[in-house]
Amino acid sequence: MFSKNDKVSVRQVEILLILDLFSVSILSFPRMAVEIANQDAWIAVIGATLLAFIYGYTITSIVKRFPEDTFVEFSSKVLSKSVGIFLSLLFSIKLSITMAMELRIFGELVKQVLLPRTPIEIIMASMLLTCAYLVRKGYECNARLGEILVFIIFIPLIAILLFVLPDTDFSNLKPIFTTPFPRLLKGSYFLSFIYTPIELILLVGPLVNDLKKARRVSFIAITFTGIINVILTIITVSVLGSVGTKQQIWPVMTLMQIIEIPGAFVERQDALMTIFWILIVFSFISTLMYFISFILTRILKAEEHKFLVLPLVPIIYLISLIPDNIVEAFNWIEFLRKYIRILFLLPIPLLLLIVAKIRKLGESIEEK
Amino acid sequence: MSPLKKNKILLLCMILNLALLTGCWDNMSIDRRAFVLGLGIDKFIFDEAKDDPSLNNDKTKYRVAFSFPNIAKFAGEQGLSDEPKFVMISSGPTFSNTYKGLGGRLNKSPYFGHIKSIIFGKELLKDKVLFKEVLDTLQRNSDFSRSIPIVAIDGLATEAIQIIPEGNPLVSIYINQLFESNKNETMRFQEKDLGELLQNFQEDKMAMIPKLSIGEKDIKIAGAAIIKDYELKGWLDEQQTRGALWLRKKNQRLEISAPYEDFHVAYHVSNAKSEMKFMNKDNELSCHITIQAEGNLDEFILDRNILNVEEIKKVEEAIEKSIKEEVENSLKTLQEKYQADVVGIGKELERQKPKEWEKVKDHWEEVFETLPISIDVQINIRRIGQSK
Repeated sequence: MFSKNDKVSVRQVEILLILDLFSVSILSFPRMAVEIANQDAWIAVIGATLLAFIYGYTITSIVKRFPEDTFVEFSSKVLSKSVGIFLSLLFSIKLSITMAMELRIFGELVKQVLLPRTPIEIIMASMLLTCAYLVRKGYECNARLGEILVFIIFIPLIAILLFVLPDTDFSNLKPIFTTPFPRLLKGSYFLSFIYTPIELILLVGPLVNDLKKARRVSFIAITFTGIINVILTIITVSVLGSVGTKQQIWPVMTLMQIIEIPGAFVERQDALMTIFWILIVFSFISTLMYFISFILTRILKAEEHKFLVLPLVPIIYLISLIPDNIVEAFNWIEFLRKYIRILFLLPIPLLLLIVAKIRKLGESIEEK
Repeated sequence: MSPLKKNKILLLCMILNLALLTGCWDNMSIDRRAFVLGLGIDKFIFDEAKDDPSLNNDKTKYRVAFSFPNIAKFAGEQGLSDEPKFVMISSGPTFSNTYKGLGGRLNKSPYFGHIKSIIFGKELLKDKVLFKEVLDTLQRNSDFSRSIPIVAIDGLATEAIQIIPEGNPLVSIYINQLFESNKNETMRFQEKDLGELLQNFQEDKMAMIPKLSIGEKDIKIAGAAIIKDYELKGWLDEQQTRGALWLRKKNQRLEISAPYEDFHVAYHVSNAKSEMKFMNKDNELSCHITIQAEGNLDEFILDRNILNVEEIKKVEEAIEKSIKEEVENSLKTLQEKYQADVVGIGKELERQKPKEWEKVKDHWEEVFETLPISIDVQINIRRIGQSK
């Protein structure tokens, strides 16, 4: 339809970012938060959100300097071509592994909750192929789909959270401030990786028609997600208790089992929740897929990204089947979180920014 | 390639898609499903008269009763059988095995998403290992909803499931409705669902489970089982349960009778709350509980004028005294007999004074046993009916 029309509006980027920030972690992050800070989990989540603002600030600063370039070009310009290519390849590999693990967890959860007898391979393959179909149509199409999905996802989600309120017991949040401060800080740092998808702004440059607003957009997305995350953490802890939250792999899923929608003859609301969650994962996986193919396109200086999408499918599929079980998949994610995720959030953009300033590269846009 | 040929290939692809991709691994038509409505879980104790001798080994540990409704009968159709429900009893080495083992005996596949209540037998509660295994299964398997009511029975759960109460032939639904209709209306027992039970064990390692008693044609829920560290310690009777619930429940509504002169007066509580405060004088921890309630006087003495302030005060005092005795009696039982803090005093201490809690956390049982607790009850009579 508009295959050449690959410019998206600022509002669409905002929506896509919000959808991406609500990735797979939405179901399990309260557990991580509670493991760090017991009933003070929500404080750690607030800290993580504040850290995410720092990441957002750094990334948008560097992107604004090079409005028509993606990470591939400006890293080549700033740090010499070979380094730039190397970093971009690293970036795409990182995204691929992230995507494979998201896919794997998606499959595991759907198998557990909805389709216990369906082989996980089929679940994952159908998801991948659907995403590939969308990605071949281009980013703009993805953005328009996001605009539709955001309502389908968030209105029910927020409605469901309202039904939980009768079951909450806010005294579970007491005593407040018992966690030592250094631990909270460390925990916030770890938790801040639920905001990893901000790094995708590094690549969004040539796709957006109004890059001046990039910072505002990323801040709005982080604020929105942050508020919902904090509310979700508070509700989870106040319903399940801090000890109970630790024992659940997906506490938010368990939360959904507890609620009773008044007057509805629905017993398994967790299945309902999974359906909304599938839409979130779908938008996230397709975005990741698009950007992986986009990086490769830019490295190869190709015209179209279409041809690079399908070859990705088997690669991602095979990576996602490497872990033997969910525990191993979590270990992979843990590894990513410990060593790799931070790279593209803070050190690399900061390095690029400093070097670009010293070498006076790119245009410095006046702050508005 | 000509466009025509392309179209043909496309058509072939579409037809192949239809042929290869239809169907679904998880498709299951509803009449092939057996909806389990109730579970009764017991420890397996070999009974020579009834059991297959091959079961008499170390491996068989559980005896579980599953009750299925006779759907045809409820739909008002002429079904094949006239029974309101079918109960199947299966035994096996683990709890999961028992229901997987139904496969050879049941012409449908069992589904647990609609369980209405779970009954734990006494012997199971006494066996720490087995009880932990059961709880783990109930927590791990997402089919078991966390809002299933839980009751314990001083006897065999497998027998309780088979009772046919007159009000509703399905015991499990009956229990569920008892819980529903008595929410905040009674102090005979505290409703417990699976989620709360798991949470109690996770946080305090102990819990109260409402006690089920069975008669010929009816069942009753009153009292509670005290479970400490996954092991049954004993039972609380109705009176003791009520005393303990004054501290646990919020805005309950109940009837109280108190001796007044030669008569008994009846008092209906419409709203009550309790508060705990902790004092620490020269390293002696003590707890002070304030119970406040308001309500109406339902019964007084004929031909006696209650329309004056002194009289009301006197009646209030009488009621306060009887409540205080009840609560003290329960606390004494819990402290001295069971050393089980099921009323959540420790948790309250942790929330109010985390530093104090850190000191006594590791030997809370001993501290609780000798903890001085003072109780203060304040009753307000708001309404007295329409006669003087």
